[in-house]
Amino acid sequence: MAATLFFWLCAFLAFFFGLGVIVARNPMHSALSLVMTFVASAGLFLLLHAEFLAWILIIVYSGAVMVLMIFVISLLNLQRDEPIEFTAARRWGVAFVVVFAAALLIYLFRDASVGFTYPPKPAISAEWGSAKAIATDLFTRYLLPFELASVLLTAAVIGAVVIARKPDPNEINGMESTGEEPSNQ
Amino acid sequence: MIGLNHYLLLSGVLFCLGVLGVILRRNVLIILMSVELMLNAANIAIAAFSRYPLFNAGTLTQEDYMTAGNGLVFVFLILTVSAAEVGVGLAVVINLYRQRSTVNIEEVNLLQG
Amino acid sequence: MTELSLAIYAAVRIGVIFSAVMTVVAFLPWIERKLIGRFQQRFGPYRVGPHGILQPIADSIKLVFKEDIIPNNADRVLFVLAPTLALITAVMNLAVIPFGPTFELFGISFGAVQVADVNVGILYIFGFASLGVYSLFLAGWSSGNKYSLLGGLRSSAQMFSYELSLGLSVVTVLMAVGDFKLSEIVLSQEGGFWNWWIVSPKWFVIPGLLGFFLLLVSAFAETNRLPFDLPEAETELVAGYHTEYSSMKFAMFFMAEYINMIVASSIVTTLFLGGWHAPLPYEPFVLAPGWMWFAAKVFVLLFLFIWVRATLPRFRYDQLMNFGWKFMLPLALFNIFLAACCLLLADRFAL
Repeated sequence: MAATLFFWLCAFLAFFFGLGVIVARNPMHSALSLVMTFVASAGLFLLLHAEFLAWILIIVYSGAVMVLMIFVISLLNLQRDEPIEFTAARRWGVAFVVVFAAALLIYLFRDASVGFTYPPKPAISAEWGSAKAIATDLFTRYLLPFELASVLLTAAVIGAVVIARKPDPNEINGMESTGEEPSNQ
Repeated sequence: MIGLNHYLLLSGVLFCLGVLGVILRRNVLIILMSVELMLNAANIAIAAFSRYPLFNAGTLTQEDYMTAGNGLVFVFLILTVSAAEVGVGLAVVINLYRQRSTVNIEEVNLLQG
Repeated sequence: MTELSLAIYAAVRIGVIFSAVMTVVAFLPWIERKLIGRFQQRFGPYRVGPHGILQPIADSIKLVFKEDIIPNNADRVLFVLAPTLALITAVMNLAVIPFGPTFELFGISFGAVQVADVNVGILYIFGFASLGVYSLFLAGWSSGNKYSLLGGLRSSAQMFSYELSLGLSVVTVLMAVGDFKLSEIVLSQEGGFWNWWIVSPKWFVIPGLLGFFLLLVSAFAETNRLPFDLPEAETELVAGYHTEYSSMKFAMFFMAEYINMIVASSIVTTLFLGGWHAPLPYEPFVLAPGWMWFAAKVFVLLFLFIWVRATLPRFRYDQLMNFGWKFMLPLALFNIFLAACCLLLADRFAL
């Protein structure tokens, strides 16, 4: 009973703030709504007994990714966005999404007894969502994807630094300067 | 009793919201956030699939469950990839703002012939 | 045990821990002002009550009756939300800290002096700490004041930078213990101070000392205490993110800061200083209840916080960033490597 209530609370919050992300006129409000969506999703992860990932979600998304996002928003000094105008192309896009959502609904509800009354998997141990279980899989069976992910992260770090770096004043036509570093960095 | 479909329903709705955000909004930052919303929806679906039995559960044996990998590893990898994506994406946005003083993608059409 | 009695026990634990911490929080500013006074060869507060001990009460009465101002160009919702968030995230962290072993009152055992022994205790604390970043940033941003905005920006950048070395310094202990559970981490340090992770021979002392230093410095940065108090630097930013706050909203930031100090000290105690274990496992020491040892260690660390504040000048912003990214982070990474090697060696030679 408590679990059901908790699910609907988290689901409602996730939906409400998810809507907030796309309707808020102020980018800062969008970003904060997204943070709340992640917190609500973390609540759902807790309900699924994936407690390690629930906290990782909060730490990585709320603690790192969204802080960076908010940092950029306040650096750029953005004004309120223009209201959304519905051009023909966008109307088609929205129609497509609505059709997709309707198809999904019909598919999920085609036999209400199938997915809505499922109990969790029988063979799942109590350790399923713990750090130990995930780490065991991550470092044995999925070692290659894990290593690739770390390579990707390294590449992303270097890429982000190179792209966001302030252009060097001594740099002319893409040629790296050979002189000394500018002092007013 | 909360079943698999409840999670899938929520995940689908969140994904649609993300798509709508990408279609309707012109602010690059909000488009990035909508992409994050979609990835998050995928995460919820993956975690739910890995917690609940599949639709053809009858054909799977106990051993299949025991030897199946932990689906949460996928969520973990998606987290990594989206963190990398945001890092690079924000760097691009900053550079864009430096060059064009805008984050409206309608005004960034230099490649349009 | 029925669910009702479990709930009552939990309520008792929450009540006891919350009121105890709140009492400390009430008197911590007085202790701090007294100590700072001594460090600067003054007396500190002396007027209200004997030795000024009633000063916190006078201060809180003053704060409650002050006018509550919301600036005209503030974002009203976020302006009110920010101090609330600061207090909530600070208090939530108290829930998982193991203050002591099982305690008995009137012959009834109430379980450990800990509200909830969460499986992923340390991640729980990091999670709420990372949500706490938003409170300072939102306070700065929603005030509609450029000094506040600068303070908020600084706080988010600073906490962001030091959270990395904070997390990495904790990883060493996690590797040695093999569990996120805070109660397990405390239990792993049983039997005398030589088993505490700060000087444990299980990993040849050095990773412990380094990790302790890294965690302590990062904790200073995370709690925005001097020498890392750039977000509220009064000389350059007129108090930074809380310039526009008055009355109870200001008091909430203040309380959150002191609770965060207590939480940070508790984490350092739990991870490196043996938690509620007595320093020597012999007769006169083990007679004192565990929570007393815990409180004693926390107060030593709080004294350190105040001592550092009275001693060190504030960092410059670029020094802060360089220190975080070019010194703390590589050192923390190296420490993990070192700890892994030491643990492997110790394991190989069955020490």
